[in-house]
Amino acid sequence: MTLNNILQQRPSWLAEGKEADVVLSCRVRLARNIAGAPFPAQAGDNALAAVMRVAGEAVDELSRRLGRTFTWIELDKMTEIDRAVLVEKHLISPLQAGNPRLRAAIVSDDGAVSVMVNEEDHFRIQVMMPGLGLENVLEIADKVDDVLEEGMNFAFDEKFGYLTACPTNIGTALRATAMLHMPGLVLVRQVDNMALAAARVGLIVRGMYGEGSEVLGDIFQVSNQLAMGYSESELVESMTNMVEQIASRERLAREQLMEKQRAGLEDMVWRSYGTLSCARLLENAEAMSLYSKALLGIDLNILKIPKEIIYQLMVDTREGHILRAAGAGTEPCSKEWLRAKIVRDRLAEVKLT
Amino acid sequence: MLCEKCKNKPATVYITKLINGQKTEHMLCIDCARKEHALPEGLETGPVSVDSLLKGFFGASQVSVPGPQAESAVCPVCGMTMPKLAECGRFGCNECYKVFDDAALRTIKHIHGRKRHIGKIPARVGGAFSMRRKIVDLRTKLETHVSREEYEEAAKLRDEIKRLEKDLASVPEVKDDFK
Repeated sequence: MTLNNILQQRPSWLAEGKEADVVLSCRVRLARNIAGAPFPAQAGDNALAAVMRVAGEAVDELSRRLGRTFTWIELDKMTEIDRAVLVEKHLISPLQAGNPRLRAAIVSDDGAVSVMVNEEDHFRIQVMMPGLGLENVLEIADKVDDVLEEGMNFAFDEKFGYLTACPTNIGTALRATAMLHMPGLVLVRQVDNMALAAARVGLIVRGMYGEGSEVLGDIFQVSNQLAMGYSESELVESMTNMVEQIASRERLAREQLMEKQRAGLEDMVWRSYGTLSCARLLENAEAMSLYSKALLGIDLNILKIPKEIIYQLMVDTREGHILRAAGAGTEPCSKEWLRAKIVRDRLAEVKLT
Repeated sequence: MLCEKCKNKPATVYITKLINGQKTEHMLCIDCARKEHALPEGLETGPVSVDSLLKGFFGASQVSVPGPQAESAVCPVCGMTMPKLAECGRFGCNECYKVFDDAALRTIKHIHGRKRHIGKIPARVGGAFSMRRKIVDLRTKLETHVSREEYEEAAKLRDEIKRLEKDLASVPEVKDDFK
């Protein structure tokens, strides 16, 4: 698998999974560090390069044991736009993209597994799948962890568990995340209450691209806040239960809206579809908000087009993807035009039933 | 999520107020939070982040624990110092957790309460730890059997504990020799 393929191909988490009407995708992240080596923020070039070396040695073994092909990607050997594409595919973090020197990612051919090297910690193992299936995701992350560990001693303490740069991550160093589409709760103005309730049971609710990112298209990331004092499977199990609860609230809100404001809802969905099909300039935030309404329309059987088209647009019309597809020399001011054109062309291929 | 006051801008500040034992919670935008005088000093420039809170923890422990190591300690692996730790809110390497013992313990207690790690143990560095944990588990089981006068079961467990203790003694110390 070449870098080119990974950049072009649609990641496997971008599909319909379990509870797909609300849960777009789920992810498990494990943070790991090598004992006796400074964490990336404190490390000089030699230390960073040494971590890159041991990470590189694990690539073949990962491919053999995980039954997927892994590719080694050095972040300073690619363009800024290509790095943006990797961020938009959730394969690397914005933190890594902004500081690419002596940083790398080990990425599986289907885009489901990535190991970020020299992010905040030496390794961030990340596995992502469509829908709600955190147990399966954890199982894969656990295997990746086992393979990596064979080549090095991990920083570990009997009381504190896995040691990480940030003391909030110690313990299992596991973060389970579900990406939730909640237009219903947004419309009935219940998201704030949901977020407060979630905070009380130890969950954080954030925007689509994690810490500090804004909420776009009614998509929220829900993750566990702390990871010590519970086993990995307990964390994933309670997370799954809570996400199911939140999803049932979202469904209830949609039912109520359908019952009480059906005409308004249908109008909103069709207007959104109309704008998407005809607009000549689309900003990202507006596009995301329109996609959200189209997805809601599909879920409620108002709009009968394949969901996959909208999923695909959600990633393909992000800034990095647009600029990469347009090629070199694109004027930054024409992004909105290009975005609107991609959307129009894709929707023109769809037959409304 | 929109600010619950102006219902216009996105809410970025999450505030819990405790007044006369009454707890109230609010999600506000930065402007409304400022108007409400709800922002702690030094946080007026941006939303409350994990970063700013962590700096607070380390900073506070530095003031309240002027112990011998706190001020002058330097981590031999990564060169971290106490003032630097208070500034960045992140440890520099695994050794820091030992070097800045007091600060680490206080911060961890603030964040995690009295919890201990009970999840996965790495096979390589955690071998001895796994065995110790197993021995503790077996001892508890042994006591239960003894109290129920199930001596045959108890004898089996006693032998297994003895075997594990012997194995444990032969596990070599793990050295952090990463270069």
